[in-house]
Amino acid sequence: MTKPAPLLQGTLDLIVLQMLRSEPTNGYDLAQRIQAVSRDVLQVNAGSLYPALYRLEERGLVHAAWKETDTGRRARVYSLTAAGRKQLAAQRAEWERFAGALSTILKRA
Amino acid sequence: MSLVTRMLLRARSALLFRRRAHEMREEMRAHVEQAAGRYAARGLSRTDALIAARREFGNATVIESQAHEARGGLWIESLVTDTRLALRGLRRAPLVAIVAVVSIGIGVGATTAIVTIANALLLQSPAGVGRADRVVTVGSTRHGHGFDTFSYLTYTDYARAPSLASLAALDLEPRAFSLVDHDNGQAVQGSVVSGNFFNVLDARPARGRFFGAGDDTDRNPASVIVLSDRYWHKRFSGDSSVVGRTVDLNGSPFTIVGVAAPGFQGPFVLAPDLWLPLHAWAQVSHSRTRFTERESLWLIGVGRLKPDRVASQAQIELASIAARLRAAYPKESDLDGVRVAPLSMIPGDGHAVVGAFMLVLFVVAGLVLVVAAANVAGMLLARAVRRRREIALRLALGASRGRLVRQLATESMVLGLAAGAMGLVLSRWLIAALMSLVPKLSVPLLVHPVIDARVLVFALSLTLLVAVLVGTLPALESVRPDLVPALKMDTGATARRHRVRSVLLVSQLGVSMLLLVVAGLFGRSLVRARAVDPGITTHGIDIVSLNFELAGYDSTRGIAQAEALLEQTRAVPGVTQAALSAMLPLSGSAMGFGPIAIDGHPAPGGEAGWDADWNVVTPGYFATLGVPLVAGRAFTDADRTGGAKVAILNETFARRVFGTTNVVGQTLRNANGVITVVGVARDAKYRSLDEPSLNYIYVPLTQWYQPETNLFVRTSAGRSVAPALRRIVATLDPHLPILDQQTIEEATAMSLFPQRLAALVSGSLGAVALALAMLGIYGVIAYTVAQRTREIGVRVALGATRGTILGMVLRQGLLLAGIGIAIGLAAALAATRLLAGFLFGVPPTDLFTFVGAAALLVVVALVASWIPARRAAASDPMIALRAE
Repeated sequence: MTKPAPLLQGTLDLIVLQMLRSEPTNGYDLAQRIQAVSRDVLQVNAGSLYPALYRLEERGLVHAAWKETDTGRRARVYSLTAAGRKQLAAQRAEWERFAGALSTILKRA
Repeated sequence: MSLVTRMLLRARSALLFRRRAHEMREEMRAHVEQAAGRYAARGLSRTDALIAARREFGNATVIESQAHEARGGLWIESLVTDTRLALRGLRRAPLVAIVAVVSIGIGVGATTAIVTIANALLLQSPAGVGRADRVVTVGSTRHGHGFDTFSYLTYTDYARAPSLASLAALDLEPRAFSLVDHDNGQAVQGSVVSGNFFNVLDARPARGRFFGAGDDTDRNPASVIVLSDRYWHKRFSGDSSVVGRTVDLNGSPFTIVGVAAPGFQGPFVLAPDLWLPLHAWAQVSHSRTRFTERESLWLIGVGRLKPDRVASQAQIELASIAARLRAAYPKESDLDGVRVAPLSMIPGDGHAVVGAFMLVLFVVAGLVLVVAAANVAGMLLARAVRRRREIALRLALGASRGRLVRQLATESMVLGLAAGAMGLVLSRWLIAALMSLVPKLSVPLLVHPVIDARVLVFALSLTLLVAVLVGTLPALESVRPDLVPALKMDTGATARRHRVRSVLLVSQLGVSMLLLVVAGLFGRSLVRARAVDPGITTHGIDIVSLNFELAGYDSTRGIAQAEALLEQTRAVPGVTQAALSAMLPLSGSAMGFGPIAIDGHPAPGGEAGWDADWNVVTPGYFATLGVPLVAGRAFTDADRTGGAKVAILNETFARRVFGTTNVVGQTLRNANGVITVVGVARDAKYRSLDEPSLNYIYVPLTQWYQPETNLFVRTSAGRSVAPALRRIVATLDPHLPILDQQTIEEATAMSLFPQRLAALVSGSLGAVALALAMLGIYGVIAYTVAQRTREIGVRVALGATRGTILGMVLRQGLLLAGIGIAIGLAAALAATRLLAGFLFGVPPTDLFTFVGAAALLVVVALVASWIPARRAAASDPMIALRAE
C-alpha cells in the first residue's frame, strides 16, 4: 500500500461537497468513501473531517439531521443544501481552471 | 447569508452550547462505534475493535475543541466557561482574590476620585453655559503674569474687539448684600454683572426672565435681580410667586425678575446667591466713580467669540487695545497687559496652579496603582507556578496554549472587573471625603465632581489595562513549553519564574519607596507649616464679618456704630479683648496701600513709591490678636479724623526703609497727605503662612473709614460668645446683617488646606503601599523558604544553627528591600524636585525624609521576612529531607 497523499490546502471542503452531492452520508461513511473513491490515496481523519463538516454547516452549505442507519444505529447524516450545490459548482469550476493551468505548465514548461 | 442572519445564528449557537456539545460527543461516539463494527467484522474482539477504532479516530478532546471552534460562537462559549472556571479558581484562593481586588480597587478608586475632581474643576464646562467652548475669559496681566481686574472704561474699550461677538464684565468674586424680604433680613452673596452677562453665557432661565443689556444702562438702570436656583430653594422654598416680587437689597427696592436654571452658578467656582446689573449696584453702593475712573480696577471679562474666530485673534486685538490705552492714559491706568484664556471654573493663573497640584495627587495615586499591580502580578505568578503541574497536564492532554492563556487571562479580567467595580464605589466615597475637607467659605466654593462618561471611560480603560498587564505575564509564564520538568515537579525549572517575581517585587518596593518619600515630604511640610509662628494668636478668637454700607451708614455714622459695637462687646462676660480689622488674617488676600513716598529714602527699583500691604484697624487690634509693639505706641481713641494722620509699620517695613525699628516720629506721604509713624509692630504672616517677609502698614479706622470690617473678639479660655455677638449686632441695628460668623481657626483653615490635603492623600496612599510591600516581601520569602525546604534540611543536618538559617532568610528579604530602596531613592532624587513648589520649609531632597522612608521600608522587610525565617529555622531536618 502506498503512503496516503497529504490533502491539498482547501481541497477538503470541495471533496466533502462533491461526495455529498450524490447522496446524504454520515461522518464515518464519508471518511470511508473518500478513501475508497480515491483508491486509498486520500485519507481523511476525524480531526480534519468534523471541523470541516461543522464549518460547512455553519456557512449553510450542508444540512445535518439525526437519522436511523441501515444497521439500526443513530447517525448524524449530512446532505447538500441549495447554497451548497451552488458553492460546489463554483469551486469545481475554479479547481478545473487551476488544475488545467497546472497540467499545462507541467507539460509544456 | 446576511450579516444579521450570521450574527443571529452565532448567538443561537452560543446559547445552544451545552446541547450542541452533547450532540457532538454523541456523533463522534457513533463514529467510533461504526468503525469498531468494521473492525469486529474483520474478526477482532469487541474490546480490541473499540481500541483500534479509538486509535484511528484520534484525540477526541482535541477534535471536539477544534470542531467547536469551526462551529463559531466559540468566544462566547469559552468566555462563559472561562469565567466560570476563573470564579471557581479564585474561590479556591480567596486570599489572592481579596488582596488583588482590594489593592487594585484602592488604586483605581484613588486615581478615579482625583481625576473626577480635576475633571470637575478644570475640564468640565460650568453648568448651564451654552456652547462653552466659544467662551473666553479676559483679565489684566502685570509683567506678563496674573489675571487681574480692569476698569469699567477699559471694559467698554475691550468690548469693541472685532473677534468678540459680545463681552460681559463681572466682579471677580461675589460680594455680600443684605436682602430684606417681609422684614426678614439676611446676608446674601451677589454677583455684580453687566446686562449682557446671561446672553454671553447663553444661559436659560428656569423661571421668569434674565435681565439684559437694556436693563443695565447708565441713564435708566433697572433695579432687578436674578436668583440662583439654590438660593431660591433655600430662602423661598422654590415658591414660583417670588418672580415679580420686590425685595429690599441694601435698603433699595429690587425686583426679582427670574430664577436661573438648577446648577447654573455663572462661569466660576464661587457660587453666588443672586445676580444684579452693574449700574443698579452702583446706585445702591453710591460708588459712581467706579464707572468713571480708570484707576478703579474691579472687573474681569467673559466674552463670546464670533463663530469664525479663535481666542488667539481676540488676544492679539485686546493686546493692541491695551497698548493704545497705556499710551493714551500713562498715569491713570496701571494696566500692563491683557490675557485671553479659555473658560474655566478657576480663572487665570489659578488654573495652572490647581492643575499642577491635581497632577501631583494623580501621580501619587497612580503610583499606588502601579504598586498594587506589581504586587498582584507577583501573587498571580506564584499561583501560576503552583498550578504549573495542572497546566502542564492539560497541555500534554492536548489543550492549546492559546486556549489556556485565554483562560488564565480571563481570571485576571474577572479580578480586574471586580477591582474596577470596587474602585468606582470607593471613588464616590473618596470624592465625598475629599470635598468635605474643603473649608467652608462665606461664598460657597461649589464644584460638582460627578463620575461622568469621560471619567467612567477612564476608570474602565485603566482597570482593563491593569488587568491585562497583571494577567499576561503569569499566563504566558505558566504555559511555557517546559512540560517534562513541570510534570516531574522539578524545582529547577521554577528558578526563572522566581527571578521574574523578584524583579516584580523589587520594582514594587522601588515605587513604594518613592511614594513614602513623597508622603514624608508632604507630611513634614504640614508639620513645618503648622509650626510656623504666624505672629498672631490663631485660637480663642470669634470673628463676625460686617459691612456698614449694607445698613446705609456714612463714615461718621459708621465710626460711631463701630465704637458702640466694641463697647457693648467688651461688656459681654468672658470677652477679654475686642477690635475691628478690615482684613481677615491668612485668608490669602491683601490690600495694597498704593505708593508711599518717604523723604530721603527713595523706593527701590526706581518705583514711584514704597509698596506695602495695609490694614485698617481699631486701637484694640494689637492686643486682641497678640501682636506686640516693638516700638512706639498702639493707636488710641485720640487718633481721629481731623487730627494728624498716624500709622504703625511692621518691623520689616521699618527696617527696609530706615534700617532700624526706631522710627517713631518719621513721616510718610501718600496721595492723602502726610502720615506720622507712631509705632512699630512685630512681623506677622498676613496673606499666607508661606509668604516672604512683607512690608505692612496699619492705619486707624477713625482716620481711614472702611465700611467692610470684621469684629475680632478674644474670650477667656474656651468660651464662645457667638450668640451674644449676634444679639448685640441685632439690637445695634436690625438692618445690619451679619455676613459671616466663624472662629479664627475656620478663617485661617484655607491657609493650610493644600498642605493638609497633600499630606492626607499621599500619607494614606503611602500606608497602603507599605502594607502591600509587607505582603509582597512576605509572599516571596515564604515561597523561597518553601522551595528550599530540602536545602535548609540539609544545612541543618550538617550543623547549621537556628541563627544561621534565620540570618540567611532575613538577609534575602533585606537584599530585595535594599535593591528596591536604592531604585526608589534614585527615582525620588530625580522626581521630588518637581514638588518643590508644593513643599513648605522642607527641601525636596530632605535627608530626614529619605532616611526615614528607607528605614521604614527596612523595618517592614524585616517584619515580613521574620515569619518565614522562623519557620525555616524551626524546620526539622528529617521532615524536610523526607518532603521529596
